[in-house]
Amino acid sequence: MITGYVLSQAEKLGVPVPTIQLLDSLMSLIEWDRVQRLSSPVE
Amino acid sequence: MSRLRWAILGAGAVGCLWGTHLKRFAGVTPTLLLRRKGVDGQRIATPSPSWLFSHVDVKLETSEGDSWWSSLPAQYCDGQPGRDRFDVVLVTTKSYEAEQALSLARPMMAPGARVVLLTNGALAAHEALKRSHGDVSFLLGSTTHGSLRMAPLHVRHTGRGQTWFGSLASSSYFESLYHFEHSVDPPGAAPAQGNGHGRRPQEQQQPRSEQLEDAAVFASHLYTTDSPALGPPAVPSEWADVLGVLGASQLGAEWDPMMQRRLWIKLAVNCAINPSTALARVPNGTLQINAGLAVIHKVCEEVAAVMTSLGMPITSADLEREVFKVIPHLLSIYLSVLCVSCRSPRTRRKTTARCCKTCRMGVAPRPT
Repeated sequence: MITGYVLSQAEKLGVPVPTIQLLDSLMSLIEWDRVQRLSSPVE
Repeated sequence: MSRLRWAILGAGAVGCLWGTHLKRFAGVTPTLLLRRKGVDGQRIATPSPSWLFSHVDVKLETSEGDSWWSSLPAQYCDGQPGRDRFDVVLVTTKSYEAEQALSLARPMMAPGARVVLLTNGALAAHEALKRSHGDVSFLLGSTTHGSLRMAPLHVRHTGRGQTWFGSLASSSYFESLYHFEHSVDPPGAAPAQGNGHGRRPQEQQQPRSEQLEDAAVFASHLYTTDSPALGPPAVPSEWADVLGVLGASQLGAEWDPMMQRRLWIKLAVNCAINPSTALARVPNGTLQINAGLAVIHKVCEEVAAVMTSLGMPITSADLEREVFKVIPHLLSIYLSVLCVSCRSPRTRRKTTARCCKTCRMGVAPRPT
């Protein structure tokens, strides 16, 4: 994910990126939900 | 005509756009390398199994309103390698699929084969690929051409743009020159602060003699003229033949000596726009009139701090300008992730719970 790459670089450099961290968590949840929906049978 | 054997990994919108243009304008007939299964385990829709090691007809609707067909060789990337292996592989998959796809295709690549990464998230993909394919030379690309996959092997070129290519190896030389030419603080550089943001880049801490040495090294590698100040940068000899073919495709192929910086700015724009629009369930172009403004500001501030620490000084104001240049062009475009998961009660519940947990951890202020 896009935010994930920035997070990993920021972590290596010790630069705090709280907003991006929050967005990354939220996007992970949305992506998780998307995968669940794709793998669920259509009602 | 180029003697290089080309392959395109990924037959989506970008792959088909470049495949058809390479054949029609550059005199190269690339082979489409396809995966049998998508990332979610779904079988890729194909017209018929009989087209293995055969040709497929790709339909392209041009941005001018006409259309044409190109017949391109195609095969599965985990199939048997043919007699002739590929010299150049253009990767146009999703960035998170690139590593697995290239690993499958590796037996089909000739020794010394080069890879052109033309994926969204090229920086992340490059980092992952360098770990597993350290012996391969990578060229990174970024394009503003618009393309839309209408159906399997049917693509619409929705808007003409430009494409830039560069290698991360050459970026460091140009960054060195930039710091040398601008002495201490490049225009727009963030002032050094004590809180970790706007950290002074490593190159600026170097003695001036070392900066000069770096600049001289860069000049000897990348310029054919004696003075770097004269003319555009020359393409490194390693990539001249590849860029020549890409340039002939009529999709634009400029060499960008500061490719890393370009890709980071693109990353900043995507970071500022994509999550906010997905979470707010609004079209990308409407962010300006929504609460996304504050998020954009914070994201740009944080990406600018990371870029500055990486030796690519930039201010958050510069990044915000780039974001607001892009937003109007994205009006009414929804993210694919948003289209699938829109208005899911489960997503809303989990998102709210995770958000509250993150706020309790003190990672971010509680939204008001």
